[in-house]
Amino acid sequence: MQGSPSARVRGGCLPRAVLLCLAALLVALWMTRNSHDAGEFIPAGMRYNIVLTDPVNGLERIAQSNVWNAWPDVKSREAVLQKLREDPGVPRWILNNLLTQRLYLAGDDVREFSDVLAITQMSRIGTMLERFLPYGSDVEKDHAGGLNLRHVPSSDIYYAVRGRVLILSKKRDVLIRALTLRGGDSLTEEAIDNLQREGAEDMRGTVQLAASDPLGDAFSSIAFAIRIDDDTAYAKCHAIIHDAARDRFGPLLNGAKPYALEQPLPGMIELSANFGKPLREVWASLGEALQISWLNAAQWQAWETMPADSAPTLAQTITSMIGPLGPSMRLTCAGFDVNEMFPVPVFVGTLRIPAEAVPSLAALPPPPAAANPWDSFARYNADKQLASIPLAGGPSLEPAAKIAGRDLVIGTSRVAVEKIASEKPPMAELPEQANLYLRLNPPQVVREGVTALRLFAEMDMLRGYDLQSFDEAAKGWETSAARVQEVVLIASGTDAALDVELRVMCNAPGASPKAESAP
Amino acid sequence: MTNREKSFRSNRIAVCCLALCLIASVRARAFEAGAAKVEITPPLETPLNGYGDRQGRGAIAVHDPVWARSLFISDGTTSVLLVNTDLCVINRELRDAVLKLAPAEVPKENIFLTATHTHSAQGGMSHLLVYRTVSGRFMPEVLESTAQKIAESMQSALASRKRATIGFDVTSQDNLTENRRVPGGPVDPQIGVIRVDDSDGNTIAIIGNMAAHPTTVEGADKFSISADYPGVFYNAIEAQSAPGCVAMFLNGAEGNQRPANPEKLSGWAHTEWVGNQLAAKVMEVASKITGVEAQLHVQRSTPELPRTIASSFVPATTDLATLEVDDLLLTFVPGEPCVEIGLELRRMAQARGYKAQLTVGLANDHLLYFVPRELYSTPSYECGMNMYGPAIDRWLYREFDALMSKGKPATSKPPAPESAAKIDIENGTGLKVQGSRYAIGYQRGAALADQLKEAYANKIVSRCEDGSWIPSSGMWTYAPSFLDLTPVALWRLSIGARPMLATLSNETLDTLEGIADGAGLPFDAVWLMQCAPTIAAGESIEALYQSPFCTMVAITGERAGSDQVLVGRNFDWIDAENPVVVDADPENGMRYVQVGFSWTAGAYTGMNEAGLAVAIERVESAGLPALNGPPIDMIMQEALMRDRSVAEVLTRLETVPHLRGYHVLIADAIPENARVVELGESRVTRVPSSGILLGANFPPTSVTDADYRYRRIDTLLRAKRSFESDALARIMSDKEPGRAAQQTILNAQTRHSVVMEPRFKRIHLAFPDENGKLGTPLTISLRKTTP
Repeated sequence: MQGSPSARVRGGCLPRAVLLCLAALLVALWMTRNSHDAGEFIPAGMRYNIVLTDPVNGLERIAQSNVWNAWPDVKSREAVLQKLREDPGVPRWILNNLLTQRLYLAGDDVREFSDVLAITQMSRIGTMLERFLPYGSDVEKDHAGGLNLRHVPSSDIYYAVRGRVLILSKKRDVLIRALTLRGGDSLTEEAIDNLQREGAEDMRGTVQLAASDPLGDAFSSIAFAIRIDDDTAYAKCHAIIHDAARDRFGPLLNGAKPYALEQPLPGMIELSANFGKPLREVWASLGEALQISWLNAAQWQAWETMPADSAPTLAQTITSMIGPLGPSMRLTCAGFDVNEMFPVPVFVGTLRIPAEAVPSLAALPPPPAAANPWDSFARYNADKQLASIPLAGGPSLEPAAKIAGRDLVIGTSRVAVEKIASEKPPMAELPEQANLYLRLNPPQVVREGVTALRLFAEMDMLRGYDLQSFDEAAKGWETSAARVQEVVLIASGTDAALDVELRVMCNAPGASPKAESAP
Repeated sequence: MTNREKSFRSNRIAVCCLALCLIASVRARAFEAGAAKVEITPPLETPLNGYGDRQGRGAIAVHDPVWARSLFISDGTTSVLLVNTDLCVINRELRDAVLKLAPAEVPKENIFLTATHTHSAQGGMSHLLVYRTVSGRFMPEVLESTAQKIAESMQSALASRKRATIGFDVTSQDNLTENRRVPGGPVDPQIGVIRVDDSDGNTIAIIGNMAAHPTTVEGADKFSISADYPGVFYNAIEAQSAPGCVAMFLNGAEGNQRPANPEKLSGWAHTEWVGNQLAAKVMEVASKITGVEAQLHVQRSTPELPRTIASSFVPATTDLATLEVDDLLLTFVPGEPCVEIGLELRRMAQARGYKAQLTVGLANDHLLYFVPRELYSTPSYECGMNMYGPAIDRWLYREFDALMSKGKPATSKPPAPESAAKIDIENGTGLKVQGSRYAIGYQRGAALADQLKEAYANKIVSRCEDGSWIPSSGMWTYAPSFLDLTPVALWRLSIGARPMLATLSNETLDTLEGIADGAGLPFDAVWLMQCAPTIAAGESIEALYQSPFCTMVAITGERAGSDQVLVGRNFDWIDAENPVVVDADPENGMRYVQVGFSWTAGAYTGMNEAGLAVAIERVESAGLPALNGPPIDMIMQEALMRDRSVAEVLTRLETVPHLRGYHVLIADAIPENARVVELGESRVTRVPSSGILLGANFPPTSVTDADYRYRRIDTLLRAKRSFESDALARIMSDKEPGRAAQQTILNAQTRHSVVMEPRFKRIHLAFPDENGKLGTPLTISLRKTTP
């Protein structure tokens, strides 16, 4: 049976079409071959290098996170969220092919990020799409001495493609520099490995700091990692202490290492610390590190030094009593006493008593014989085994101290000290080893603050508010704060570096805030 | 049964019914009474109320217990609970808590809560921060427990009620109380006594009433709980009475009264002496009282209080009440009235037909002190704590007058004065006001209300808000920046400014009160505005004034032409404010014209119907104005209202030695009679030379802007032998070519330009427009228009 001419033609065309397709496929494969590594275009020695993991999907997840609900400043929060949720104007499947697993960012301007260089590896489809993008769009060709740059005037971005690597920058010279790197000028493989190290972070990177940069006077570089999930934001950083700042941090961190920390006392702001040093040394070194003029060794020394020719002063007695205590220390702001003469924060803390330095509260110098019972002299109540100094007002303005088990309980409020001492300070340890643990309970902080401030609003004494406007504003603050469950900061240091972790845990919208979560 | 028998029988039934009804009626109207006391002593460590120097620290001992004592009385129609507590005050938190728990059988408005004002009982019951400085930390548990015990005493009194009689009388004392501010000053000699007996003649309650602070406890004992002398009084009365008798004490108009101490006793001995002496007096009277089944009558009102500069801390309305027991009137005052007010309330009551009147202070509310107007400028604690202005005494008289049921009210709220008439003048505001001094002020205040409120906001409130008038020392510096100290600062400033009212006449106070009421501002706000330039001068004169800030001149004799004396004056002021002229024609006194601004109640420039012309200018070299007396413009205002000649003004100035920092030009209708008084460290009075008297002399070489102005005016005056008023007005509007800033006679800061003719009692004035060009002059002829 003979075929018709048309069938013959079809029979002849099909193989040709297949061949053509195969040829086209081969060309496409050739054109989209992975001929370059992203690292080739990252200049070595850039001040910051950052890698974003799965940027397209990651950004979407981040934009949906409840963490943003906890951001107190509504305007700026909205601005950021708007940016995150902005429609890029490009279909998502295209973005997924243009920005694949990682996006590298590098640059020198750590303040404005004006010279940021973005590098990513496209998929083959993405590469092909980029090839056809200049046709029918506002992309202009920029020959650039044969470097074949592209310019997008509408967003003033320059980019170039090498193999499947897409390199972008706002600055043409930055892009040209990236494209003309010699072998030794690009980031080392080890550095790239470090950047790419597997992890669950959304963003990780390193920043080299100059002395004039924020924190530059203290740290020479900071490595960081950030992850934002549905209800949690997690940030961790490792900061290398600047050589010039070693003197400043040395006294605090010299020989330091992470220690087991005690569970803090319950309150709206809780702190537990252990620097491996007694309070006296922590006091002085903390002042040095934080550059607080009156927190220094000389001041402590002045307080503690006994005058040769007179009875010990109160300052001497207190400093010599508590100076050797530690190294485990806890301090908590339990809230505000809004019923006191004026609203006062209530601080209470514990200092671990070493076996060799058990303080004797009874050794406090007695008040002068002529002193009235209400005069502001330190007194020891033998029945209660409690030392206190009545100031003006009631018990929340009466600093006190009492020994409870292995700790000396101290506080600005006699009542709070008695309560903690009678309940016995918690003995459990936190799961993390570190030097400092700080936990904030934002709903409680705001609630207590609002109650205290309202007393002033009742008398028109709160700047910018009358009672009505304050009550309205306070509702907003409390609603915002209720979205955050807790903020936890954990820090530890060594001679040369400081490690800090920050966790922000939020409540899902509509969920009732958890009353208290154990640290 | 015959018809007659039937009729007789039905009549008998009717008579019986009527008799039964009458008996029932009499039975229902029987007078009943019951009394009870419940101890309200708080736990140790509770802060005690009354003395700020305790700094809120708690009690360390109980010297004697404190009590709530209640008396229930009912005439069958009206039931009353009279509660006497050994507390410093009945504050609103406590009142509300007690009334919530009070027995329902007695209407809330018939419950009278009073405090003896002991300074040694529990505080801790004030929620508002400002009161905690004296009453200590807020202790809701103490508030609740005290309220519960007071309510318990009320319940017990009610439960113990029985058929009773009540009687009253008064006696007097001359050695138990004294005026704590003025040695030998006014006291209330009266001791009031009320006795309540049951039908068997057993005494249910004896009440004493006297006006004196229970402040005999002193020194270390100030931290001991005590009822003070009322506690001794209770014990003495109850010891001398049948068991079950409850002694009660109602304090009187004790604002400036304290227990006397003629025997120079100290400590508790003094307390015992006062309490026992009072008890002896009361028992002496009580033993002679014969009780009756009296009629009770309660009147109550909740009026609006006068405006206060401390509105952030004290309420705008309060609770006033009276209780009438036949011919006895008890007047319940919600605070601490000074004795003068108590005595006047008594005079008013007696004039209305009451046999006796007892003022009961510290009742139902606590609005701090009430001082009579004549004490308002006294730098005393009572005056400082008087929150509602100098008219509070008349307010109390008027409000209590309305609550008396006997006789006819002698006072009533005067109708608002008529509106001021407008005077047409370019570039400013002119007002024609007349009537009483108050009416003159009111008309002015009402017509310029918006401007006055704006001036108050700009000159006083904003200076507190921006911190420029907040002290930079002491506790003020510890306040965190989120706190706005303005409410406290305004209150403290007003207290500080009140002594500057001293020596001013009642007429001036009337005018100031009128301005305040007309403008809807507190009195202290208007007065602070008058003091603002003086206060501001003390801190930064450069920012507010030029030196000197005016130009003024008198020409006399032949040089003044037919006038014989002419006064020219340009008033320079750094702030471009709306100039105001007020032509005031009081019903009693001289008519006068005063030129200034909306807020200036004093006279910077003015003339009266006697032809007395006054003008003042600030001269820095004469020193800083002092704050220990009225500002110069208020003194000149008094001169315009009362003085007719230069001699009288000179005499007046001798009575106010505190004045410094100003030159005053005065002239009258007597030919060549003009003077400039330089009020500096020493006083110099200058007279015209060659018919010219300049406000300030200028040195041979001009240094300041004023030197240029005065040199120019001197040159222009010497250029001609004789001037009429229009010629002088032209000189006052001179702008010397080539001179800058404030060096010309008429300059950018001139706010009014005036020529005064004392002989013809005419004043010509013009206000500049925003470009500094004077508007059409207005002439006011000062002849009296009202009889």
